[in-house]
Amino acid sequence: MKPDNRQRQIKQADKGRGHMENDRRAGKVPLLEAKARGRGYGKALVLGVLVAIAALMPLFRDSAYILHVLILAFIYTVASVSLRTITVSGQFPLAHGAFMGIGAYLTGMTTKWLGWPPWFTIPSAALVTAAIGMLVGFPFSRLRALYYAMGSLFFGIGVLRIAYAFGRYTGGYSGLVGVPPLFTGSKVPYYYLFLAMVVFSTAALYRFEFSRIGTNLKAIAQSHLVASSVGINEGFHRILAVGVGCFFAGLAGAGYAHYNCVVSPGSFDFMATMWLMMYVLVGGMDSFFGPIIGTFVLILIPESLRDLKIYAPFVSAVILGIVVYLMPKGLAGLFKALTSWRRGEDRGETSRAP
Amino acid sequence: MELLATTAANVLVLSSLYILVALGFAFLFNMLGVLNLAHGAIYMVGGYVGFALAIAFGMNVWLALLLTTVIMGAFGAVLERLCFRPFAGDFNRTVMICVAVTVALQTAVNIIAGTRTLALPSFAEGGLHIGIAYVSYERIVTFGIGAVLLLATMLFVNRTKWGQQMQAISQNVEAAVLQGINVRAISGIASAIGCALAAIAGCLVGAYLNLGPFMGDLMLVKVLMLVILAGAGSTSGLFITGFALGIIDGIVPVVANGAISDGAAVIIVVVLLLLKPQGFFGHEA
Amino acid sequence: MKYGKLTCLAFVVVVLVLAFVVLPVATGYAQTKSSEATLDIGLLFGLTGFISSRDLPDYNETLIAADVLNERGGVTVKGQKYKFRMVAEDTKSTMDGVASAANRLAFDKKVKFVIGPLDFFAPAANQVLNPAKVLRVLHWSGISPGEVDASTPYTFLGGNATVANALTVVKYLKKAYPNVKKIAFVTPDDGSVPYLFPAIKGLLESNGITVVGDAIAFANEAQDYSPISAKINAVKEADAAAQFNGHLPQICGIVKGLRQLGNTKPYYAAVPTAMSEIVPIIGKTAAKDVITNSISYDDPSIPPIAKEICDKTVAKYGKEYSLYLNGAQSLYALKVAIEAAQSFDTTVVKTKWESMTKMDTLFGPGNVGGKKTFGINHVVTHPQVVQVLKNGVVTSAGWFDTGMIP
Repeated sequence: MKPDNRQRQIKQADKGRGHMENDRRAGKVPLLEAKARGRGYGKALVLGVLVAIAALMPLFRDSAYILHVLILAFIYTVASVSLRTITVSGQFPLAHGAFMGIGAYLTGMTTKWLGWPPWFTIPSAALVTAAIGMLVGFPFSRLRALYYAMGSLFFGIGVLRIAYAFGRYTGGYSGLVGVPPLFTGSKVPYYYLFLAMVVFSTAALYRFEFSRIGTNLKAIAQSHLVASSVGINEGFHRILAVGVGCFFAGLAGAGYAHYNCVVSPGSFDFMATMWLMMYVLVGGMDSFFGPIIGTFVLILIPESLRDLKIYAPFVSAVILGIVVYLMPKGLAGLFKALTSWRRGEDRGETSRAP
Repeated sequence: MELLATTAANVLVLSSLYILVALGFAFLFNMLGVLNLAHGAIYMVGGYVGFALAIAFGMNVWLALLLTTVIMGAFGAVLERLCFRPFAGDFNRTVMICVAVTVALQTAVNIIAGTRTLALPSFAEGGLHIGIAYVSYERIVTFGIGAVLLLATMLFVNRTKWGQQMQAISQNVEAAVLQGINVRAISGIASAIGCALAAIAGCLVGAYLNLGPFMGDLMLVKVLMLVILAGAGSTSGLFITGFALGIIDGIVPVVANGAISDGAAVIIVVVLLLLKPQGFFGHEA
Repeated sequence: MKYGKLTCLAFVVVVLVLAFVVLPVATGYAQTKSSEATLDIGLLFGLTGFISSRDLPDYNETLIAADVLNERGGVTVKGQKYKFRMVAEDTKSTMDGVASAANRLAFDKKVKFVIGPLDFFAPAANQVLNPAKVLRVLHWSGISPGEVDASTPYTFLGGNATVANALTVVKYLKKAYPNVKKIAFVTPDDGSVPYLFPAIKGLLESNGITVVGDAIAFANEAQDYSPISAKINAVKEADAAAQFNGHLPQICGIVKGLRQLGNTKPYYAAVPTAMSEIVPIIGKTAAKDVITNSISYDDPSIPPIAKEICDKTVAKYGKEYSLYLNGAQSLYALKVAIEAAQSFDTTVVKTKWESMTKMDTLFGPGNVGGKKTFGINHVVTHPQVVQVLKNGVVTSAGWFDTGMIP
């Protein structure tokens, strides 16, 4: 095989098109079939439709309450998808809620006490959160699975307790009040902003996961010894994954701070992190779109069943129970099994091995 | 001087309290490898069951304690069969089912008994003066029971046949099966013991402090800190880490003012964990 | 793994339908209107989660209060009687829950008057309700920014709370313990201390009671209160200790610890928690010299409407139920304000209410004040009954006129 042909094939494989596309270009497989089986086309269409529906929603239903619930769902989607990105590298950070909190407090405190403009502080808060995540991730990356999880859990709780302790600046247990809002008046600008944030974040995280770095992360997750032997720098990649994940967590938290205008430590505590994990797990950890499904299900269903009042928490417990017993791969896994069953294949997978 | 003596007494009691609550969790973790995040909820339910028996049925409080242990032990065996065994080894799903169980139990207790603050009747009224410090009998009882249970657990694990079988299972399940150990039965027993220990702790804390539907949440964090610091596989290490945490939580609120006392323990734990990730007394390399 | 394909598909369809169809449709349905003229009052209480032990009894009592007031004609505006209809939403003891509940009440159920939420949950709801000009009455509040101040023009404090209770403490101590001039200030450290401490200290000192030392703050999530009791006990110059905010487990833990240390000084927990709940928890040996601002169900001196609410509560929930009546008083204050303004326009009601200095309350003639302390004349105070625990016996120390908050 000619060298430059091989180079071209490697480049195309790197770009994530997979061998199906290469086969098509080589003329081996007809175009239509390649399109049908190609990665991402079907999914992209579905997503595009959903985003279009979401974008047009405010025109048809102008209840600010529905917008509010959807905004919350968007924010937590960004957080849960970024959480999943970190887990792709085999690490289980149980501090994601706290990183949302760090982003929220940073932007809240700088806009309230220092008067900086929110359009600057939100991205900067996300960047600083990423930096903190990487800084903390550096010593933590030495720890193995369980201890990493527990260590990050305690770190997350510790961050919160620090927020309690410096009450004069952070508002302590009651929270930081009076964070300036981004828009006054209607919720609609917020809605579009967070819709844009979700689309941007998922697109960015998708590209990240299916790039070469993402493949390296998956390799590390599968077997870090083999990955190191192939020359993948384990430490660098792990910390990078944490940094990227924490950036979006901070972004989500910062957006939340300026929407809610109150930053309360209770929103970012241990249980918040656990629920983010639940969103990811219910949706399915193996699939990129799992957390999106999981977040929407676990937020929208309890909200729509608010009238159950004191019995409402049972709903979430029941959803968790159903998913954990009936669907080992989460709701996304269910989708895949159904679609692949319809197509007559054995199993669907996110990555096709060569 | 009085403050010093009182603080010393507080430290001892806090340590024994934490060790007591952590014992059941550590048992399940070491023997079954299960991170039972529902431990807080089971501890809480144990306390409420004890209250129901002691107040609603008017039993003598020691009798109520005994009966609660039996009831929650049975509950533990059922829990193992339904929730732990199907997901053994799968950390994610264990966490999910534990969260579901916790939410369900907390909501149920909140609906049935939640609007009033309740407490179990005291196990022993009165107290005695040791020098300038006053120690109530209740504290002595709590401390005593905690110490006794810790020793009993260690003896059980190391000396009895069942305990050794549990150790075998925790080391290598297939080998244990080959040895003829009935893994299912032993796992059930281990879970029963773990939950029973949690229930005893719930009753004792319910008498010493008070009951609340969400008391398990805060205790769970402390328990996790204790057990992870002690290291996987170590029951005796609990003694030291429990004592350390008791010292921190007994002294810091006195010297520092306000909310920092919540955070001090956690920060110290994080630092220690970074220094020694496997815990200080664990078996793992 | 093999799934039951059809059943799982059905489940997925149900989920999607719920999430994307039912929710938008269901929340679009208007509330069915009854044939009578009604006024919707929104309730933001924590029915689940950790604050429910404080909020749920108050909520139940507010519902009973609505029935009692409706039997007495509800609220009368321009000659027409309107019955109260309670529209409750659960705040779930989280900020997210508060925001969602507030959004639902304001934009979905379109209520104009709201009671709640408690204390530090208030600012989160304010951010939603204030721009929508929803008139809000807090049933309990501290003095932290964003609760009741100049930035919350549509928020009122419906009854005695942390700051008002300081005035009761002063009056009671003058009457029962005239020798007590110095007290230790105990408070949970929930971020309100930098605001609560100076405000209450100022009120106390302008009435002759000095605070010894700094505020003794304890962590909100403390389990064992013995270290804090030790700290309080170590303040030897104080003749008594007082706490103006906090809830039952904290009070019981501290008192129990204090008595076990041999501390016999009076402890004033200026909160409406029921003495009947405190006594069983602290035990007989510790049941000495504890004072609370709570109501006892068999107190004959309770004014009639409040008495009827108490009687109905006891009949439904038993004798040991905590009688907060904060929400009930807030509802009554709303009724008085609306009838004074003779309008349902929230701006008109607000303007009328803040121009008042006196106001009728469930517990007798009360005041509206707070201009200097809170920054806005929106704080209702009323006569307060004080309960004393001496040697295991609970007695009422009578009613004290709180007066107006400056």
